[in-house]
Amino acid sequence: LALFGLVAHLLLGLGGSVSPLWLPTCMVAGVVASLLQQRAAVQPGPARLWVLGLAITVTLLVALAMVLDVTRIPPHDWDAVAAWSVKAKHLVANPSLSQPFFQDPGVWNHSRDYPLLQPLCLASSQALWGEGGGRLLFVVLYLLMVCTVGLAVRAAGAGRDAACVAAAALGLTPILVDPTSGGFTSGYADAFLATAVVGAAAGLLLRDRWLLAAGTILMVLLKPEGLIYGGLVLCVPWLRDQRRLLLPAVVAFVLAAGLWLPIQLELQHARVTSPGWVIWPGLVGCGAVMVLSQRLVKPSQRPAWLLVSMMVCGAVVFLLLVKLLATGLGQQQGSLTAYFQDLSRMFDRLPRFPQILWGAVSYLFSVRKVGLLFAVLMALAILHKRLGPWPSPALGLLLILAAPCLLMPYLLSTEENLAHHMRSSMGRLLIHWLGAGWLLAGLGIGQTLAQAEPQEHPHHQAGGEP
Amino acid sequence: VQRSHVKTLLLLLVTAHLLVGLARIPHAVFGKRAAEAARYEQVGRVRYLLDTKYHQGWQEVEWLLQNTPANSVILWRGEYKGSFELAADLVFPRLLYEASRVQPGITTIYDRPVATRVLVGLGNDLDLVSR
Repeated sequence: LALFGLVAHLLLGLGGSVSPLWLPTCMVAGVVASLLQQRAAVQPGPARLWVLGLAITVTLLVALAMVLDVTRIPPHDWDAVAAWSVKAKHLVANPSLSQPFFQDPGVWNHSRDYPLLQPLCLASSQALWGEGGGRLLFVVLYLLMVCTVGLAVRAAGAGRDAACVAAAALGLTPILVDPTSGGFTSGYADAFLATAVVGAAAGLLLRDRWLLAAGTILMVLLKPEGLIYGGLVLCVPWLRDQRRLLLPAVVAFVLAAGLWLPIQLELQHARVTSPGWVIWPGLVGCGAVMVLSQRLVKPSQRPAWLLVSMMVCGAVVFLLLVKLLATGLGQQQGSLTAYFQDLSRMFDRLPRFPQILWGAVSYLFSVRKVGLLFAVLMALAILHKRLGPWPSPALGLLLILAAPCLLMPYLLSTEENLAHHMRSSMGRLLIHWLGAGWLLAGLGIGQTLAQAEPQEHPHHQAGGEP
Repeated sequence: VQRSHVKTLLLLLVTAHLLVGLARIPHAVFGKRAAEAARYEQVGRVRYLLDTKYHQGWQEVEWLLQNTPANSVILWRGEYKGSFELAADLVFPRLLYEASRVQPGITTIYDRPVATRVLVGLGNDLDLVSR
């Protein structure tokens, strides 16, 4: 999917059209590449048959409900109709940007600045397999996300039972599987973005450069906030002094953003004053600074106060860079622009921070939305000293860095009705991190199970980063 | 707190999550979907989306679908937030074109005929007026 994203955006950027055959071609190439990749052998012991059977049964049951849904009726939630599916419909008819719907600012096109990877994937699969058959893409994404979590937990050595439990737990998360805004079959891009985040998180966990790069590319090409998430993912290997991971992640981010941002500017052409090519030197420069600064500073060898100071400075620079991307090139409209046009709004909103924080906490612990994931993570965080070492510092760091992403939109938003804004969007923001959360929880479950039954798993007392 | 209590608490939380998820499958995962799909098929896409407690405008969209050719351009004006946001998808492959950007008497845009009525966004409703 990441390869398809790069190829499709390269073609669109060159003014060409994206043949639907690129989608299966890139997917086959991805499967072949993964088969050729050498992996360390993991022998976490057999899963109990009933645990494996339960995980497979519930996943397939939910997938069946989704198949019956998407093949019967098209997505019908608000943003899916207003912003996502209409783009796919135009791309099925003509898989290029050389059409009035994209080129003419007079033609109504909701959220012109939204990335195009999901509409491109949907259009290609619908062109090949029909309207209903093409929508099976959403079910494939669900299976991909659940399987990635299960396989990554297993590959990290946490045990097959833990892998099955983590996969099943993610696969049963209400907000992902219900027919509601943001769920897999809703037609929104949030679940696809969550799958991309899982890919990047699994890459960080397993120190797999290809997975990390693929997840980073997908994030940037799927939703406007994916650009920010991609930046956060880069911070993890930077802060943890993992040069082997940082370089491919930076290259992936620069490639994806370099291909997408000029197209985004072109789609908003009537409101943009700067040409798209100014993006490339900026991106390459920032990427080079990130890679070189890690080599010079070596975060792991510095005292904590310096690391904290660097993180604060990094956060300020990151905010300013996003503001530059969102508003500095002349855009007057667009989703990032709406949030970043006036950073001082953040200070005006500070008195309402308790309301925002309470809203976030109530969503985190809403059993009807996300089940008990955050209760499990909180239990792990509080009690990890009694369970053994923290299962994955990289994943823990990623989730900590992601926390402000839940709060910042409401500090920067122009929407006055904050309660309505939070009700309509906080669940979807939370969706993006559910898979990464269950990856971490799966490792904790693996630790617990390994300690409970050491005789059954002699090789793996604790899961974690290999 | 004993280590065994910690493990028990963690496993209880995970088990509760799984049980809640399993219990919701018949009603929330299958039932709600089936009910939504049945209603969608019964009333059609336009009425499903624009004949609700919060949003109206289905008559205007149905009129456009029945009385304008599929390749036409429909001029629009008014409030874009609300019911109008869904119109571009519902009238596809017709295009919605901002009325303020065209000459009053124009009859074609991109060799497509321009519809005789203008779609007006009214927030949570729509209207059709003569050009």
